[in-house]
Amino acid sequence: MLRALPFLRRLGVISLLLAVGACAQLNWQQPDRDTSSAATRTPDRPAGSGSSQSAGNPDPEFSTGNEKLVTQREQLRRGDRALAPEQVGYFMDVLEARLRQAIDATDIGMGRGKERFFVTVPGAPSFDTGSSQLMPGIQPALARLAEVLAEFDNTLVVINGHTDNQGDADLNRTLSEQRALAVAEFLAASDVAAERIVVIGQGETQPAANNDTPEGRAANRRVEIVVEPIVQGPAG
Amino acid sequence: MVRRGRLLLGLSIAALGGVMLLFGGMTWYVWQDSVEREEQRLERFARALGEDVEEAMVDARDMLDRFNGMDVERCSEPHLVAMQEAAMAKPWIRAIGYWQAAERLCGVGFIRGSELTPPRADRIYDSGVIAWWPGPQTEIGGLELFLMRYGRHDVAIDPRLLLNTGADKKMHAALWVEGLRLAARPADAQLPPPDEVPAGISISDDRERILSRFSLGTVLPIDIVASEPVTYFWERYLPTAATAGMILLLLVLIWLYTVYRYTRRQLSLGAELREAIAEGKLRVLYQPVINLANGNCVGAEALVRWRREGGTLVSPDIFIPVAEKAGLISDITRVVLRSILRDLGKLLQEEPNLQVNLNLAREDLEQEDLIEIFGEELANAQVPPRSIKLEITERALINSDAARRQIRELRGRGHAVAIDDFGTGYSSLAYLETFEIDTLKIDKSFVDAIEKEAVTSNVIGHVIEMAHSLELDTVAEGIEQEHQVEWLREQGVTHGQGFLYSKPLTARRFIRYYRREARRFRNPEDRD
Repeated sequence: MLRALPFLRRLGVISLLLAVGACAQLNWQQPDRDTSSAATRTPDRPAGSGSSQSAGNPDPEFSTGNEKLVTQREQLRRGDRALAPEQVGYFMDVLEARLRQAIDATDIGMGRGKERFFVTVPGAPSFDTGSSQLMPGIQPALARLAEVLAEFDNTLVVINGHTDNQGDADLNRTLSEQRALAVAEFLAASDVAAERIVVIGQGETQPAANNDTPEGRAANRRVEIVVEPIVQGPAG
Repeated sequence: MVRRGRLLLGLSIAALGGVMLLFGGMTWYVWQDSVEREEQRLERFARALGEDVEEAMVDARDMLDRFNGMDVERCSEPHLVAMQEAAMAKPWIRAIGYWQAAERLCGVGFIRGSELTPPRADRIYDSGVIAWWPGPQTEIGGLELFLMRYGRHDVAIDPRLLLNTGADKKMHAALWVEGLRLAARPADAQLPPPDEVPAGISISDDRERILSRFSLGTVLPIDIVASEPVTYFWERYLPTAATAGMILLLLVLIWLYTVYRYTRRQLSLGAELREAIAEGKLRVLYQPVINLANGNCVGAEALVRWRREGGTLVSPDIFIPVAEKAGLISDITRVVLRSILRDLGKLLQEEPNLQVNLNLAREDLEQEDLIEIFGEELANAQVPPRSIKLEITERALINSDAARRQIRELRGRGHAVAIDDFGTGYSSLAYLETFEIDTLKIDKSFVDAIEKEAVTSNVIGHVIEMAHSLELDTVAEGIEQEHQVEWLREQGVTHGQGFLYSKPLTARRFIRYYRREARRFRNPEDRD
């Protein structure tokens, strides 16, 4: 599957980490401050969501899946990039301003939760139906976003692909992961370090809106980028 | 004397009323005007401060934008020099910094390293501008800074220096952004928050200061509350009020002087008239009355004239009211009667058909001994009563049973009675019937209305009709044109007087006129 993505080969080295059927319970808090559209919220995620698989790809690697997210976050927290807790407030404010500036007057929306931002790349103007190839129209906005993320390198960037509930669930999961990967590759190509990126194909498991209406389904087809500062954690 | 007292009292009340009206009006106007000026003055002061603050904010943002787009190596010498120059240009800029995420890489001013990273921004705009209002979280070295970041540059501003209230230390002002007090001049100025200050000007609770609010919402929600001591207002108001007071005083003096002059004139005219009557200085002129049918002179109207000391001729329009107020009317009437009898007594004895008209006023008719006096004077002069025709104005007849009785008695004695100025009052035919009269005199104003082609007023027609229906003689006054005579003659008006025939004449000249006319009438071939 990943072979289908043309520029994946050009990317770095790193080993392929494949998490199959990761069951990590993600316990993201609901945003306490949401100044953007409701579509930016990340709903609670049911336990036991699956993951896609891909094997034997020599190309640069992103962490994928929820379990990997937890370990990746822990790893980064102990690294050099981690922020001192007292810096987080300032960092978040400045990052918010820069993100807002980057996506101002584009199709991309955003919201702020407690110590994380939700940046929503809508499916319709970004991908063709069934395709995981980024459309040219969305790329300038993504490029500006990538520039900010590259500068603010004390963040973990979790890229979640989502679909609506039409069609086969496994296929949806695969498509959502491929789309998330496409965004991840775009960001990585724009100097966002691959080790900060985690890709998760959520499939149709986390609808943001009601799948019964065309509008709701359109809102559900999306890639959601969760940007969270890496804060120095308690030792261990 | 009673009349005089009443007059003085009335005038005093009028004078006082005028003065009070002037004072009230002037005080009100000056106060309104001063308050409005003060409002504008303080509003200008607050507005200038608000606009300065906004300009500083816009400048700061534009400066950051410029640095973000600058094409130099970051933190290189040129970059630092540019920042240094910008910081020097504005006194309120305390520091400019260049950042990567939460790390200050370099900068100018008195902030070192990443020491100023307030935990919570007060405002984050979609444009990417972030603002931290001055507060404990932005304090460095005891100074609470206004911090703005845009892109990778930030600027720290000393808010105290944004408010330049000028040299006057008594002018106070405070700057509020989003309901938060950022700065004040002086720093400890006691000013209420903007939501407690109404638009326009108001007075502070302690009644010592005048407050004004100016609000601006274009870039940032800015409020300026400015104040000045109340004494400033009084210092500006009082000279204005004083100037107005001086003008007012002048007006009052002019007013009082006018009243004084008028009073004196009234009083002195009365006194002078009394004197003139006593000294026989009133003169009587005679205007011939003509039979319109044949042009024969049938009589004259006696008209009184007063020539004052110094030669000014006073018209009866002026001195008759004065005489009325001074109670001199009956004296004047008597003077005129005596003049007629003295001047024309002989002629009247010779010409029994000649009638001289004497004007009587309302006061004359109210006088109980009028009949006796007339009888006495006429008897002495041996002139029959029918030679003296009495003219009474329409207005003198109103609602007067005494007048009606007197007229009846005078006619009983043989006097003829004419109604003067007929048509200018309110008489109706029915009312007129209740009086025993002989002649109607048609006022000059109606005669004037007779144009060459037509009559511009219908009233004269009605007056003539009325006279005819009551079988009265008619005398038209003020005839000046031949066509008026023709018209009047056609309408059956019997007699007339006016400049066409003769102006008022002295007794001597009237006698000469009368004799000449009488001769001509007797010898028609002498005519023209």
